[in-house]
Amino acid sequence: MIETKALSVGYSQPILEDLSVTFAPGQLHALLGPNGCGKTTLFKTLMGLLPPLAGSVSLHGKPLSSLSDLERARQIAYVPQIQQHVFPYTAIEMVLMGRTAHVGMFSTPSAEDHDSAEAALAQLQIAHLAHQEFTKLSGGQRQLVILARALAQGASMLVLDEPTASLDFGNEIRVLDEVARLATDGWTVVLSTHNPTHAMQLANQVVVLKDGRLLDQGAAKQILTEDLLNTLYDTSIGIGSVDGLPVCVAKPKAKRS
Amino acid sequence: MDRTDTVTAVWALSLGALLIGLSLLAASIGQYPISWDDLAQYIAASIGMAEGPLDATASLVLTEVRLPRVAAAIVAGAVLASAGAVYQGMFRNPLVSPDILGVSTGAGLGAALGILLSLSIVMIQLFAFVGGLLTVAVVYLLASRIQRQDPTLILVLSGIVIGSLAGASLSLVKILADPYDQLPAITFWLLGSFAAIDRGDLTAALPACLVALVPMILFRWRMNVLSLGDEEAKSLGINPGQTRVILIAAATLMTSAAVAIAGVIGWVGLVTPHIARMMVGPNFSRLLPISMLLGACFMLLVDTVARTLTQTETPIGILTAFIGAPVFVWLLFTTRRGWQ
Repeated sequence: MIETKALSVGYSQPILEDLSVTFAPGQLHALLGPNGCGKTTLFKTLMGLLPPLAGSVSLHGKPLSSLSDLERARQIAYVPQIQQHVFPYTAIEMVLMGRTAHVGMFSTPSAEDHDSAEAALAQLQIAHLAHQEFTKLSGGQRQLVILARALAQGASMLVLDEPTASLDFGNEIRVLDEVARLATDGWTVVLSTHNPTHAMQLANQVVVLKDGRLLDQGAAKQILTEDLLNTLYDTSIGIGSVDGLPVCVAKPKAKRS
Repeated sequence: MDRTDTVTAVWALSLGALLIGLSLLAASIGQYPISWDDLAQYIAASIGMAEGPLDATASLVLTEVRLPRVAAAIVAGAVLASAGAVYQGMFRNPLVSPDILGVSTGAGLGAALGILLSLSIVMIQLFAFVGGLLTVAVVYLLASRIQRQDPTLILVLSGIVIGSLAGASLSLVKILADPYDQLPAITFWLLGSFAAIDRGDLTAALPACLVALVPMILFRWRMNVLSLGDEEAKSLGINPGQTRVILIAAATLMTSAAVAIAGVIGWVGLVTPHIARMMVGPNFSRLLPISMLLGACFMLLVDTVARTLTQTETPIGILTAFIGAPVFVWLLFTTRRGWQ
């Protein structure tokens, strides 16, 4: 459970203000909002990478500021947007680094840690990538490896910053299926996305941000209406359905009726 | 034991064997050649397996000149390579090394000041350490203040700027030095040389190197995590600040100890970690020992060539540059992929 109270986030100027939301266990929460609305900044604050400008964050009822880096890492894992990595670690080495919070200060990962890392790769069906160099993998494969690293971390909360941004159509839904399953397993999952369809199909709860404020929040099915999405993205959006699944499209100017 | 462990073991054994072979070779050849028989007898005698009437001159040459020099080359090579591996990981930048960051020159400036003041070898080391540490601190602060797109480039450029400032100050020290006594010592030593090594230098430098090695071994796993960058390291559960400072200080201490006994020797710290990484990958548990062995072999080979190539000693810094520069160009061509 992640709770924010009257939270303001930003570097020196607030980007997002007065945010009070609760991310509950067993739920997939989607964060929607146009570019620059502060999703990444919010996530960095939730991860303790950036101090809040005002308000507070708590994890399972404990103030985030009272937790050490190690204690926090055992509770909450982070899948950042694709990062540039310099050194050619193998995929399994990258996933093993997810075990850092369980490895003693002067130790190296144990056999148990290796097992967790291999299990995480297997869970995402990428065990065959284990000994390949991470820097040589495609963007989608790297994203899956980083997700595996988060799984290996032994946390119960997961924050994903646009996890599908660099994935192909098939990998997109594979990653989202995995993430949705984690929520079903009881994890607290928060992800940001630019695709409202993903939010409508998979999220239990959505948080909608615009212009540095909370625009709306609630059950995905209730609040994600054409009206709200039109306001959110300043364009014309239609919602339809395929085999009973909601699908959302932004209409090109020339095709609007 | 997985595949990489096997590869690492094979490399470690091969390099270890190479190092022993090179050491024997280096002990035997030189101005006063020592026969294999004499060498074998010396070794047998020193481990108590034989007591023999070894030729007195040969014994003296080995004990007082040849072996301290072999040991110093091994230590300096190993130390500069591990410092390079640590700097590259800590700054997440495969283009940095003790010399490129200006640490070697900064330490050289400190050491030259020590020589100018006619201090003891221990004090010269201390001066070298302070000089090196100040340089790396200034370079890092400068680079982190300049917010640009390409932090790799900015760090290298800051190193060059501060390094050349330290170089200019060094020239000033040279002008002030006694032209008959101190100046030749400073000049020759700035080009890097093991010619003046004695056992005292070695015993003065070893403790600093061993002390600096301790955090590198202890934090061998955290080194990997820190090389991902501050934000990832923090979200994985490590507070990067302290550990990073300790490791950078350790690498600087090592560099300074090497500079204090052997002068400014470039390229080893830049090139050897690269080659080690190509052999066993970036995992620091494997990278550190392989870099050390590789650096030791390289330095010993180069030093042996430096003292046997011509009648007069060739300063070793000249040779490492002649070898290191082309090797680095080759590395630039082959490993560019990983450096976006």
